[in-house]
Amino acid sequence: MYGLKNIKSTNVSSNSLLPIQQTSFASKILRSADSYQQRFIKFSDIGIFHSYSELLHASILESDPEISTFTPQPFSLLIKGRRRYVPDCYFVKSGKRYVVELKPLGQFDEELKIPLELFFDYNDIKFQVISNESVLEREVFALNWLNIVRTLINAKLEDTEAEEVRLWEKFLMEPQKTIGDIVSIGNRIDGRAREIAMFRLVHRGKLKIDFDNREIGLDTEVSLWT
Amino acid sequence: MDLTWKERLKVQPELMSFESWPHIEINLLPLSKRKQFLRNKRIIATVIAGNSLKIVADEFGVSSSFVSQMLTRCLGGDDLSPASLTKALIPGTRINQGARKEPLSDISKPRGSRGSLAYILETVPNLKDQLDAIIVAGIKRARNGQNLTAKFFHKEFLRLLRDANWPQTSYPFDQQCLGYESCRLYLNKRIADINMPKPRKIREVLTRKTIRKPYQEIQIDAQIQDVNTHINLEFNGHNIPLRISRVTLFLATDVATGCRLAYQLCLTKDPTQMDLLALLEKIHTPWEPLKLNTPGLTYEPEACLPSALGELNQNVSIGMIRLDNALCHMSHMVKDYVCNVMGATLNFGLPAQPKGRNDVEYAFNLLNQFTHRFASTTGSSSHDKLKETKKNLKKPPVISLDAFNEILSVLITHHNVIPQERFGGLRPLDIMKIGMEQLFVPLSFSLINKRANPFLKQKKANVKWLEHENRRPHVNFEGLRYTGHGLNNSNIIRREIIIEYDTRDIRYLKAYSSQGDELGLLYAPKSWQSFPHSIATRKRVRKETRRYRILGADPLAGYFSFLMDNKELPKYATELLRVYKEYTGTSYELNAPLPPMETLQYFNRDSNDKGLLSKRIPSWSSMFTEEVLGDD
Repeated sequence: MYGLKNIKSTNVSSNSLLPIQQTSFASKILRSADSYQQRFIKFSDIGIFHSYSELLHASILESDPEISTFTPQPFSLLIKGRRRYVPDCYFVKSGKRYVVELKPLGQFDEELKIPLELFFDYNDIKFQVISNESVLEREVFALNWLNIVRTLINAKLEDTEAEEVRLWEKFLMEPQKTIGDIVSIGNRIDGRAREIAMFRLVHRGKLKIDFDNREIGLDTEVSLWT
Repeated sequence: MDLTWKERLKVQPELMSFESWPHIEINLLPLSKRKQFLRNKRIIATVIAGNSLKIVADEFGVSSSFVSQMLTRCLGGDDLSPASLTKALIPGTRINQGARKEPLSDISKPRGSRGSLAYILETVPNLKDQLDAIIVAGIKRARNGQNLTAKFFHKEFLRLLRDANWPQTSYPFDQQCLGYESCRLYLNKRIADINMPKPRKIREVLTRKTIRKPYQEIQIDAQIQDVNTHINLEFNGHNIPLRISRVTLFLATDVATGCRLAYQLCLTKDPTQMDLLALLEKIHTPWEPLKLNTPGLTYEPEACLPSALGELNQNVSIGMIRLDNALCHMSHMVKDYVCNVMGATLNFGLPAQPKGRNDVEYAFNLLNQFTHRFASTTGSSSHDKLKETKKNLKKPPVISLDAFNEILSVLITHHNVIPQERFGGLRPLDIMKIGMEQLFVPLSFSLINKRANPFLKQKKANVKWLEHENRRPHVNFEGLRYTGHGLNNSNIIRREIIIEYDTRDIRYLKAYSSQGDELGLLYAPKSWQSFPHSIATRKRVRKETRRYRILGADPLAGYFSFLMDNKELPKYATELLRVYKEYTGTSYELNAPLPPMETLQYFNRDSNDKGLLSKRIPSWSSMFTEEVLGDD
């Protein structure tokens, strides 16, 4: 190991900083860790997440309209020419780039963290360490968003453009409704365009949905994003 | 910072009461030390009760300095570490390791060598790290490691000291044995420390949120059934009972409601991804009861699988699918279907941790209580009473495969209508109905208009043309050349096209150009056209034909003939049944009626005769002609 005083940004190296999900070790980690695979909208492939917290974190990223894209396991880095390191997630928020590492209690080895911060800072990327606990605190919110993501993925062939405009106009007249007001629970299959349109508007940040602490249901409030 | 005993009592006033000091059981001390230990206890208890040192010393016949020294041993020391307290009262006990304070022994001024090695290891830069590296390399049998002996370790120690320009007049060079014994003790201690089992890192167990909505988490597992069954083959007018090998049951359960969602009985001990895909498809396919032929067997009233409940259950979106990490679960086809088509989360859980899927494991446990009423195929030993006896092993078992399938169907659906305490006396199907009606359960809208076929696959293939051999353009697929009129186009020769195929029947493929234009159907060679067959069957046929050289003019017929010849072996009898069902297009419907084998009369040993066979086997099977060419 090396002393902290010798740490420089050049201790970390990478062939490329183009964010591509690193799958070379995927088959091994799928068998050795509690891994999850899920398709998202802001990531173009099936995402591989190495823990439950990482899955929830990706779902939280999907909920933020300012985040345009994210990539799990984005880079393969070498620290000090020896140790291989793959960060947990990369995302772009309002044009700024971030790399995130999720750790229990947010504890990350300083001998790795400092050179990584320097390296990413040099490349105009902000490096953050997030605790698993802070993600798990928003578990209900993240699971609700996972349901929305699944609905939207399953409805990718449904054309709801006209329905979205109609729904948007209704919200302009009455800015707050419940899901029960929008969706007809007895006839969900025929009225699916309205339900999909609502979720698409929520995903785009046009509507705001209030389900931080409780499961999404018919009494969940939907309102205009202010 | 070092504290005196008085300072310690100011910092920790609770120690003023001797009752609060730790108790040491006197029986554990050697007899020779007990008397002095008790005297020491009395002295300290009296002093901290508030009596003066001098009076106490006079009372117990010791000097004041002795009492003071005793108090320092008990209460003095570093303020960050706890005081020694009662332990220091045991005569002859070493309280501190004792860092060396006086200078090291030197030739000009010899001193005792106690603590000298520890002092050197702390003082000389990197010396400790280098010595530890030597020890670790030796223990781990590294390439640069050496067999660790005290003699050579000591020599390495001296060499490192000389390299560090350690004065030759100071310890250990002023000693007769050059500090050999200290080195030997250090080596043994470090080896023991390094080899000591490390405490296992405890994985953080996170409580999962209770799942209330149906279909938000389903658990799937497969289990080989510990019961042998038989089938009756009708062949040449004779009814032949055959023992078949163990079959595998796939089961899907819903966590929120406890409902059994679907099951799939596979005619093999080693199920493939196709079996799992068939199970996944069944979750959304309306369930229909079997026509029960077993005497005394009936469905419970209202017993069914949830897919029979209504439209919502057939179009519901599944949240998370938990599986174990069996090879067939990790297939790309499964991942593609679950994540891309169903939009669900796929989780394989931790290895060897089945409790993450306790619902489905418990479901198998319940089923096994019934299936284990029959003689088991397993057992703790050859004489286990559960195991089938050698006498019975020679004959086909009493229970037939169809009867076993019917029993499973009744048992699995029956579970869904048993009232359960955890639901307040309601039945799993009631909970499912309430959930689907009242809770906002996500729906999968992709399933409504077009039901996705999990067996339909696409891949890229290169168009090849061996023009010097005067052959038609072709694409290679699963070891055969597929040809068709659509490939007779110079624009696509030696270019990639897209082929689409059903993995259950690969006699023909649909071809598309890279721009998406249809190129029509591509056909396998005529010798592989006689019956529908899956990729798995073709692979097995090719493997067996290589092994036994039974290729003949019609490999599918040759394989069937081979299985018929070996039908007495349970393994081949099962495979025979599977292949037969596949050839007749009922491979994933176990309860489909089994036509008599005479319909496949031309599968006989003469099939290796190419001339004879080519007359007997039609160019296209009737089923194939109807299915593929019927529209023309």
